[in-house]
Amino acid sequence: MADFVSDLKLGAKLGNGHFGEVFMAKDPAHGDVAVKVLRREAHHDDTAWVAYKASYLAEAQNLSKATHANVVQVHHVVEAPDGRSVAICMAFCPGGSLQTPFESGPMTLEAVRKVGTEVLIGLGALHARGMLHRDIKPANILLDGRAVAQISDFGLVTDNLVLGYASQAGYADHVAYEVWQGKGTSAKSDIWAVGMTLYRLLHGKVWYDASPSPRYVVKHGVFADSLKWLPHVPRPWRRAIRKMLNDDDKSRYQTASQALRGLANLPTTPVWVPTVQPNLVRWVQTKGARRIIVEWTIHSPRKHEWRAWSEPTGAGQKKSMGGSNGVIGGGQAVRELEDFFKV
Amino acid sequence: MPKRWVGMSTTKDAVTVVDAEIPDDNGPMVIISDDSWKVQKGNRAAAYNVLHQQCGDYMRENGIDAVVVKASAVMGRGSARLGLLTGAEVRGVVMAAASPVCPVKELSKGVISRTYGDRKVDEYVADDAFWAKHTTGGKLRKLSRETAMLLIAARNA
Repeated sequence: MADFVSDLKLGAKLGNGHFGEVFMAKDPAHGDVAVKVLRREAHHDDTAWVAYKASYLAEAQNLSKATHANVVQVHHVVEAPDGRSVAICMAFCPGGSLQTPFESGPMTLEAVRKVGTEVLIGLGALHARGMLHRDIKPANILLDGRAVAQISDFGLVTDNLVLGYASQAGYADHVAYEVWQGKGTSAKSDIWAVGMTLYRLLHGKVWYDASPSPRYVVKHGVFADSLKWLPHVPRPWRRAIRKMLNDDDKSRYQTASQALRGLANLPTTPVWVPTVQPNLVRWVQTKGARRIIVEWTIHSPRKHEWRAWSEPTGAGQKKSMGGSNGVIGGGQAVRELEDFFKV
Repeated sequence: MPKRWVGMSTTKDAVTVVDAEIPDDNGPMVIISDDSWKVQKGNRAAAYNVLHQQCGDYMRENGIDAVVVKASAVMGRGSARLGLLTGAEVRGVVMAAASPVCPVKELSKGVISRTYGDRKVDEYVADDAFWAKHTTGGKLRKLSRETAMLLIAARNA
């Protein structure tokens, strides 16, 4: 049989992933595509690489047959002639990954619920096919041309790799308690990672980085109870995310469908748009012709202050809506803000 | 070969979903799952979009052979209340979502009462011995019996 040469034309590099590089490319059949080139890594001995490559090729072939609105479509997979790399041609997602919004700051409740819903629908479909993701994180959630979230990089990580990979690839914050204890991954550890992703998207990088990194604390247990929440995040949201992050995998949502049900009842209004800086958290809500603004200033770990006011979007007068009336402690500031937001 | 059927009944904010395996013989149907899909709070159009996708995915991923939906009905001569109308919207969404995957049939409680057995649906629903005889497998919530009744009636139609 004759060998055929692909007319896939690689373009600019889009980024570096743990498993290789991602390029923009033109495919004769699919137009703009992304091509991920997976390469053999130092931790792959001959046997591990052959097994890894075979299992990945098989999984990628499965994915290429599966079309789902919330999973990045894999068009085809090819192995390099030297056997040292595998190229995966997949749909190009012009909206980029959610790592960028995460780094920019907290997302609104509505936006996070939309992402969570879309990710859980995609995850549920693939769990139903007996596949696990093992690597759910903002960087692996891409937005297509209509801003619909799609899960990418399915099946890249195996159980044998997960802890070693996690520590090298920045995924360790998303490793569930039982996986640290050596139990192995499951649909429930994927749900743990969704919970972590939702927490991160609700809070943004600055807030997230101010707490001890989960990679150092999850393994010791009771992580979900130690989370620090932005004061506007309503209690039902906290309960749902804590349930996803429960140490006991039997106490979590057991399936993506159950987690979806958990998200369905979460409130998404009022729409506060938060921004977080190291010493200032600010919320804005636009309500008709007025804007409500809340500012929480952190002078030092023990000295906090907050105030809220409304102002017209055009000309007019400001109206005070409350505040701490001076410097107060951190705990008191959080309690007062939670009262203000009526969480 | 056994068939995989799903019964669904809707309210304005949830869908009760009973998934069962229907054996070829007259043996009891095997309950695979008894679940509820919530209609998301907030924007109704977005919530219906989610439900449509969730329902279509479920039918596709689980290889469902047929769906039976509890049909719209108005109680007596009274005008339909808003909750009932909104529940009918939800019904339309799941029917539309399932129909590209498998046949979708509607059955009303009244039709079941007239065509199945010699008792009314509510009497069957309350009869524990009836359910012990006609179902096996997973747990079926008492509140889901009316939805499961759709499958029993459709099976005997």
